[in-house]
Amino acid sequence: MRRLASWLPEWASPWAAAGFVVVLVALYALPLVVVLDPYTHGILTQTFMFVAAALAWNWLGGYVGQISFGHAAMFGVGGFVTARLLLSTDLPFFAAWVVGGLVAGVYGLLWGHPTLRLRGPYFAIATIGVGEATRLVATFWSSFTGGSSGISLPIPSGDFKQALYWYALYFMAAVVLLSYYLRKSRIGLGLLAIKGDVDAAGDVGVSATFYQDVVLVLSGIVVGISGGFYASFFSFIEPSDMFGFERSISLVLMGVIGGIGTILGAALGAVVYVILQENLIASYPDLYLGLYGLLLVAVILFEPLGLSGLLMRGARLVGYRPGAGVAAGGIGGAAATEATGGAPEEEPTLEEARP
Amino acid sequence: MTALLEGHSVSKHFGGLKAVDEVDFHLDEGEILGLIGPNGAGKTTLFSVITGSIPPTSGRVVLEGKDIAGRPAHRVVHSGACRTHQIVRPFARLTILENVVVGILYGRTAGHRPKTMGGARSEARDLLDFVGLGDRAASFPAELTLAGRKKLEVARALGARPRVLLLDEVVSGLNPVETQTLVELIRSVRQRDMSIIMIEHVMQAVMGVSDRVMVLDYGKKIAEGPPGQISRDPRVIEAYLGEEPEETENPDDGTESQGA
Repeated sequence: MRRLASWLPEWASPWAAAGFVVVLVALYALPLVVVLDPYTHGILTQTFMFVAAALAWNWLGGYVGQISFGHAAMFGVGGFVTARLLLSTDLPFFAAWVVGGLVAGVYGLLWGHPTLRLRGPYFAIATIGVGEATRLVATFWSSFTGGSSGISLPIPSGDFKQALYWYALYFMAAVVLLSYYLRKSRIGLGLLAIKGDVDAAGDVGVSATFYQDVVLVLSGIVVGISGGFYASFFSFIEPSDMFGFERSISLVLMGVIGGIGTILGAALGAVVYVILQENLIASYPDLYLGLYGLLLVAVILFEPLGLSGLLMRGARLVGYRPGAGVAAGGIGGAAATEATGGAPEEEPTLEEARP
Repeated sequence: MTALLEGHSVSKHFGGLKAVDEVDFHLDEGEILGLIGPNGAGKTTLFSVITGSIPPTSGRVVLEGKDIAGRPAHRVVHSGACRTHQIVRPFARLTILENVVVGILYGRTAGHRPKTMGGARSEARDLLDFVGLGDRAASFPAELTLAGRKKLEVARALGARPRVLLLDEVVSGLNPVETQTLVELIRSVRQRDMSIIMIEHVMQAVMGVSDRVMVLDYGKKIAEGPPGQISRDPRVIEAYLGEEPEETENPDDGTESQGA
C-alpha cells in the first residue's frame, strides 16, 4: 500500500484509490460475467450517466455552496447540440458529446459569470430563472430543437447500446477522479474557503469570481456531456424533458439525498434517485413528485448530510472513526492525510443541505 | 518619498456619510502604525478600502509604487497587503491548519507559493508554531478560544507573506494575559520583514507597540505622531472623551447619531 501510495498523486488517498479501482473493475466485468437483461443493462448505463451529472452538480452545490436549480439548461444544450451534430455531420458520437459539453460549458459561463456573484438563495432563484428561460427559448426554437415534438436520432444498433454501458462507465470514472482532484487539490481548499466565507476568502487572495466561473464551466461541460449521452441513449429528445424544471430538480435531489458536498454521497444519491424514479413512476405516476418532496423534507429534517451522513453514523456505531476526508461532508477534506485519528465529528448544519 | 504604502486623499462615502474623508497616510518600511479613533471613526472602512474589499470613492492608495485603489481584494493580497478581521472570520469547516494553508496557497503570486500541498502544510505548521497554535493544527476553529481565533487570523494572513499586514483589533476582547501574548506576537511579526498598520482600542497595546499613531474621527485624520505625543493631544482627548467643544472642528455631515 505504501509503495502504491508513493506514485499516486498527492491528492489521492490510497484506500479511496483502491476502492475506486475495485468498484470500477467489478462494474466493467459485470455484463461480461453475468447476462444482464436489457432493462437492467439500460438502468445501469443511465445510472452511471446520472452519477456523473450529480457529481458535477455537486462541484457547484457542494464544494462552492452555490445551489443551482438551472442545470437542466446545460443538460439540454449538451443534448441538443449533440443531437444536431449527429444528425447533420459525420462526427463520431463521442466527439459530438464533447462538443455538446463544451457548448454547454460556454453557455454556463454566459449566465453564470453575472449570477455567481449572488450568494445563497439569491443565486438559487436566479438559476430557476435561467433554467426556465432556456426551456422556453428551446421550446419555441423549433428549427433547432424540433419544438415540442422534439427530434429523433437514428435508432442505434444493439451493439452500440451494449457499448454505451462502458462509455458511461468510463465517463463516470473520469468524473469521479476529477471530483477527487477538485476536492483535494489546492483548488478544493479555495472552493471550500469560498463556501465558508466569500469575503474572507478574497481577503487572503482567493478570487471567488474566477474559481466559481471555472467550477461552473467544468460542471456545465460534464452535465452537457451527460445530456449528449442521454440523447444517444434514448435516440429521442424533446425540450420539455431535457430542459424541464424536473430535470434540474433531479440533480438537486441526487445531491441532497446522497449528502451535499461529498463524493460518495452524490454518487449514492444518483443511484437511489434512479431506483426510486423507476419504481415510483411505474407505480404512482401522479404522486411521485409529491413523494420526492416528502423525501427532501425528511432528509433535510433528519439527516442533512443525507445517505453519506447515515453511513457515517453507522460507521461510528461500529467504532470506526472516519478521517475527516473519507466521506463525511468532510469540509475537513484534505485533513485525511493528517491521520489524526480523532478528527472531530462533522456537525452537519441545516444550511449546507438546504437547497 | 520612500514610503511602502501611501494614501493620497482617500475618501469613502456611503450616500451622504463620509466614512473616510480625504485621509492622507503613509507607512514606512518596517514601521508599525497604530490607527485609533472612536467607534464609527472610519478605521475599519479605511482598512477595507486599502485591501480592496470596497472601492474608494476617490483618492489613491499606492503600495510599493503601484496604485492599488479599487483593485479587487484578492489582487491587493497578491500586491502585498493582507488584513485580519475585527470579528474573526475563520473558515469554519476547514481545520486550523487548512485555514493557514489557504493563506499560503492563495495569498501569494504563483512563483512564491510552495509547489506541493505537503510543502504548504509544513509551512502552515511552522506558522502555527510561530503564533502559538502548533498543537491545534488538526482542530477546527470553533474549538479555539477567542484569543486562539485571533491568532489564527494572524497566521492565515501571515501565510500570504504580505509586505504590509493590516491588523484590525486583534487585541480587543482579550484578557490582559492574552493581550500580552498577542502584543509580543505583533512585535515578532515585525522581525519578519513586514510593516504593520494596526487598529486598536486597547490603548496600552497600541501605544506600547506603535512607532507612530494616527487618529481618525468622523472619517478625518485629526492627529498623527509618536504615541507619547498623541496621548496628550487635546483634539484626541476631545474625540475620545467628548469634552465640551468650544468650536466644532469638523463640520458634522449629518452624522450626529455617532456618539463620540
